[in-house]
Amino acid sequence: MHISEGYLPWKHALGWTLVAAPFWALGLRRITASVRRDPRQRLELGAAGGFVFLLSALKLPSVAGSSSHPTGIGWGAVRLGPEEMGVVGTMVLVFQALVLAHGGITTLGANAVAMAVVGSWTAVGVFRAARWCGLAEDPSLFLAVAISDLATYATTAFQLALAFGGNHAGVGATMLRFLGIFGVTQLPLALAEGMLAVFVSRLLRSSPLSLRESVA
Amino acid sequence: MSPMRRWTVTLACLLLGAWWVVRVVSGAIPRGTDDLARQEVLRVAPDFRPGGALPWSLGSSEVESGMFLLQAAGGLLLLVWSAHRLRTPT
Repeated sequence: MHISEGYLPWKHALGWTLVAAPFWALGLRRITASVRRDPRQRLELGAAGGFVFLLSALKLPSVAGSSSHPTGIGWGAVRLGPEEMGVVGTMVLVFQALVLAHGGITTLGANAVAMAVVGSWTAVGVFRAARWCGLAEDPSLFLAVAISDLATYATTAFQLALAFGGNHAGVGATMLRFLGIFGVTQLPLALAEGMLAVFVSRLLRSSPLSLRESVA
Repeated sequence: MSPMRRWTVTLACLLLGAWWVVRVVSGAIPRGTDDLARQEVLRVAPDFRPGGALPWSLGSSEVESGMFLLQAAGGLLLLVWSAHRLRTPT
């Protein structure tokens, strides 16, 4: 779910862009340093980027007569790092806005914070917490990716509630309304994305790919 | 993973993918959460006037579906190509 062009008041659009900007700068710095250290890192970024491109384009029917799409961010964040995925996710959003007229340019900052930043960092945080609790890698990855997906949509609900809830029903009640729209649709997709991430991870583990070890 | 299992999984993925493509092309995918969210914004804040839409559009839902298919195909190609290159020793 991307906030469409023009559907955020300009102050909120600007504010979220300012929130996203340091993460873009950090991510670009990390990518530059890692590619300089090892040029083959470009291929790892390509693989993660391809995964995000693929999953974020899959408009899948869900329950309640609606559809949505997974994000693909969680898997890449756990494998490569949240800083790098902040940039990769934003590039996908830019592509979708410019080529597919999906999402927006003024809302790019808000969409990037929801998907590329919160999604990435949530995935890594949940993965590390699950591993610290003694869970094996596969269930940890499943939880990380599924919760990351849900966190993205929860953030979008919060952004919209912050923009439109203040003068009406209140931010909390408005956020619950938006969560009611996203949550029912997104929950089965988040679980499916978690399972897919585990499947892809197992596939790569059993092949001699030189993907970087998990960030945890 | 045994070769038989790998083939089974690959075939299952191909069938699922074909089913999804047919659903997308035939327009059978129901309304997205983006549309529902836009509606809800206007319901929650009836005074709000959305800013300008993007000056370019895809024209029709069929073209939009086709472009998303292309994005998915491009992503899959990039993923497979990158994975293949990573397997190739330097």
